[in-house]
This record gives sequence, C-alpha cells and structure tokens, in this order.
Amino acid sequence: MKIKFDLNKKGTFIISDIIFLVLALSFVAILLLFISKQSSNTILIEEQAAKQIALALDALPSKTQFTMYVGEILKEKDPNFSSEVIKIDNERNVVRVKLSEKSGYEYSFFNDLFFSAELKGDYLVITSNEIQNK
Amino acid sequence: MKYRINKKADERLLSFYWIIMFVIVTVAVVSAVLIFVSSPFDIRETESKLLVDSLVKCISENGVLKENFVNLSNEGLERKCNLNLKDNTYYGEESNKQYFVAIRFKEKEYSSGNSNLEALCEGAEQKENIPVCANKKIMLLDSRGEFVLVNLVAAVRKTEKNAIS
Repeated sequence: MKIKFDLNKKGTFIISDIIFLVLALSFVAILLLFISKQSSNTILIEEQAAKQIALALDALPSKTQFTMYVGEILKEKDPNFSSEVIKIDNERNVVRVKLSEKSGYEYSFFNDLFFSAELKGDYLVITSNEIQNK
Repeated sequence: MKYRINKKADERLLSFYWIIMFVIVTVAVVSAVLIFVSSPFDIRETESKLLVDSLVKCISENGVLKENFVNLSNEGLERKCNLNLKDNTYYGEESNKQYFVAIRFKEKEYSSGNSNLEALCEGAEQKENIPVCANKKIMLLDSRGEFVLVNLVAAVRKTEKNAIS
C-alpha cells in the first residue's frame, strides 16, 4: 500500500496557535517564578531559622556543644549587609536572625543557660555554659 | 438541513474559556501560596514539650525526686530549673504572660508564669488562637522510697508569633 503525499499543498500557518502556546508557556513560567520567589522569601527564612535555633537552645543541656548547618540561611544574606546574621542575646533570651538591613526576626527561648555562638564556615557552633548570674 | 459552521466564532469562544481558566488557575495558585507563606510556623507544641522535659530534669535525678524542691518559692522555681519565662520580644506586661509552668505532687504546687493560661488549656479542642499546652504525669521515688505521682504542666501562648499572621 502506498501513501501519497502531496508536497505541493500549502501548509496553513496558524499564528494564533503559536501565540497561544507562547502565552501559556509564559503564564506557567511566571507562576513558577512567583512560587520560587515566595519560598525563598527572606522574612520566611529568617523566621524559620530563628525558631529552629530557639528550639535547639531550649533543648540544650549545660556544658554542651551543638553544631547546626546554616549554609542555606547564609546564602540568602544581602551582600551589602555586613552585620551579624545570627545573634544570641543572652541578656534578653532572644535569638535574632537578620539577613538584610531592612528585615530581621526575633524569637525568645526559655532556657536560662549562657550560650555562645560562633559561625565556622557554613556551620553555627553553639556552646551552652553554666549560668553566669545574668 | 445544512448548517454553516462559523469557525472563527468557535475559536474566539474557545480562547475566551482559556482566559477564564488561566485566571482561575492564577487566583488559586497565588492565593494558596500566599496563605501558606503568610501563616507563621507554629512551634509551640514542641516548645511546651521541651518545657515539660526541662521540668522533669529539674525535679528528678535517676527517677528520684530531688528533696531540695520542698519549700521552694515560685520565683525560685525558675532559677532552680534554669528557666526564664519572660519573653522579651513582647513589650511591657505582655512579656510576662507568654508562659506557664506548674509542678504538682503530694498536694503541693509550684508554679510560675501566667496562671490564666492553664484554664485555656482545659478546652475540649485546642484552637490556634489559644495557648498550646503539654501535660505529663510521672511516678518518682521520694526519700522514703515511696512512689509519688508528679503532675507537670506547661503552657505556651506566643499566639502573635505562631498562629496569627
């Protein structure tokens, strides 16, 4: 059985289909961009990090060292921001995470030990010490 | 009977439906993402459990009730258990109203923090806008070798930081 192709027949250029396809693809791309932008929201990351660190501090017994990976948090830091990103305020019992000049999130912890925090590369090393009559 | 099919009108009608679909999908996705992003992470359940655990560590050692707990003042409870129940992220009087802890045994009670929170813990079903509580009952040995039932309660409010966006 032979199939005959009429090569001389003119193809119809459906311009509306192409426009529709481009519009649909750009619509999906914009939606995906919106979702990824929202999930990497600085305020969201600061809140999550501050609460995680506060919970870790609450659970930490005295004279213990705790290492936490914070590379993902530091990646979101504003390059123009030079101050401390993660700060443990022993006076106020508060953890503060600040990734840019305009943002910042604080969360309190109830463990009344004295904590010292040090950033070593992508890791935050927290040491709990005996109470020093705060 | 013959119908003359108006192809152009058909296409226009279809593209109208497509636009409506796009709008519906956009509104659904954007609102779902915004609702998810704007609601804060609620860590109060973990916090209240950690608070109860720290009370357990504070009053007992190897399953034995620490005797130095007897005749302790409420202020002493915080110091004795290395607790600071003042939330300094809140201003004024509100900072002292975010936590409540209580230790009850042998008809004695040691408590600290906002005692009003405990009443809210006893609700049938916990809602987002009221404190999250943790309750633990443990048996400990006293100095005479007798079992003592100890009831521990911890409540964490912090509603603005964990439930209300």
